[in-house]
Amino acid sequence: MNRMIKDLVMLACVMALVGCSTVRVEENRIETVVLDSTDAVAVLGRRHGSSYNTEYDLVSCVANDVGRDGLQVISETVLSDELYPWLEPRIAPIKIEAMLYMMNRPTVRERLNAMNLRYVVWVDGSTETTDQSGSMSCAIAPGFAGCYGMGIWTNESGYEVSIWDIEENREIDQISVSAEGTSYLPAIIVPIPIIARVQSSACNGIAMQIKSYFKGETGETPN
Amino acid sequence: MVVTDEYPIPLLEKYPYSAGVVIPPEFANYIYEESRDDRGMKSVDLGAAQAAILGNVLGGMFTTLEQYESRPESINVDVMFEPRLEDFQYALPAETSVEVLEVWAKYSIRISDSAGREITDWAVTAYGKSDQRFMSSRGSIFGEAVRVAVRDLGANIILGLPRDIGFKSWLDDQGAELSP
Repeated sequence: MNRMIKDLVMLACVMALVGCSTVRVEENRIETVVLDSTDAVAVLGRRHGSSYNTEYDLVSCVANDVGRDGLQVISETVLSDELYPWLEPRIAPIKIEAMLYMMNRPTVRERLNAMNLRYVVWVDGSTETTDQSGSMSCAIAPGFAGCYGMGIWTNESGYEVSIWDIEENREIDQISVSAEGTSYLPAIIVPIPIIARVQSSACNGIAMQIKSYFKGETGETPN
Repeated sequence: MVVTDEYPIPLLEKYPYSAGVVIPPEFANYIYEESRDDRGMKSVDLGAAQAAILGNVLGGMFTTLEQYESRPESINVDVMFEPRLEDFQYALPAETSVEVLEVWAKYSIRISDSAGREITDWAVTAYGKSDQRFMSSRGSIFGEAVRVAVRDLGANIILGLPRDIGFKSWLDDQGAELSP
């Protein structure tokens, strides 16, 4: 019995150490598609902005999450290498019309056909720390080390997702995801981080909406 | 810090010409040494990466590619490339207003024909950036930025070379199409 209580207390502590984050998802479904089982989807990040980079780990998180549902997903690394240099930030098509220039190259078209790639999901945005406050001081002395204080910071995510049908050469869906969460770092001798997993929440929001889209489900907005 | 030297072969239609590239040891083994102690990076081993991307890109653009450590006395290829690194710089997130680490490099590539006549001395740049992530080491984000910059160098050569007036004129003389 004591062991069970101990485990429950431990579980409660672990759960308490994860901060809360809120996610907002909006979708502009331009048209609905029925995904053929042979069609592959690639998830790519935009990297042409001057002040931010769509994080590689966010793009990889979305691709893994979408792939878990049985969709054929080609990773960003694989596609960028297979189509080098046509998806490098300097060259990558920003609009669907520019994709034609790339697709008109016989070598590119041949490679894409071999990979069964039909849909490209572009993710553009980033997660940033928007607010920081508090202070903490740490000291080390012979026989003693510890910290005292409190740190608070807020992370905000903003991602725009665009899905292209590269066979029909048109944009078929737009998704907008924003997430926000505040993390805390209280310290009385030992700092205890309570981290809001904002980027991870944004990843889940994006992946859920992409999966819902390819399943032909009605768009839903998670909280 | 050592930068990866594994880069993809570009997906291109090739020019129907043979090419050569002179990669001297000082270029292939180039190491950038940081003179300031407060910038975090002590050195960047860039040589293998820049030699690899040039080999891959030129190999992907021309039907054959010969590599030389020094300029040969007699040239047995249609076009010869001699790259030089002119400048390498970086900016840490703390030095800019944005949370990205940026890397720049500037190269000059002397291009000559089979008779050794200079076609052009072309300047080409490379740029890469990577985002600063929670708990990630400076070495890893720096390595990522340099990897992106080296890939960008390849992309810039593929995109920019056919637009260089000297090279374009040489291609016209050969009766070739403008882009691979």
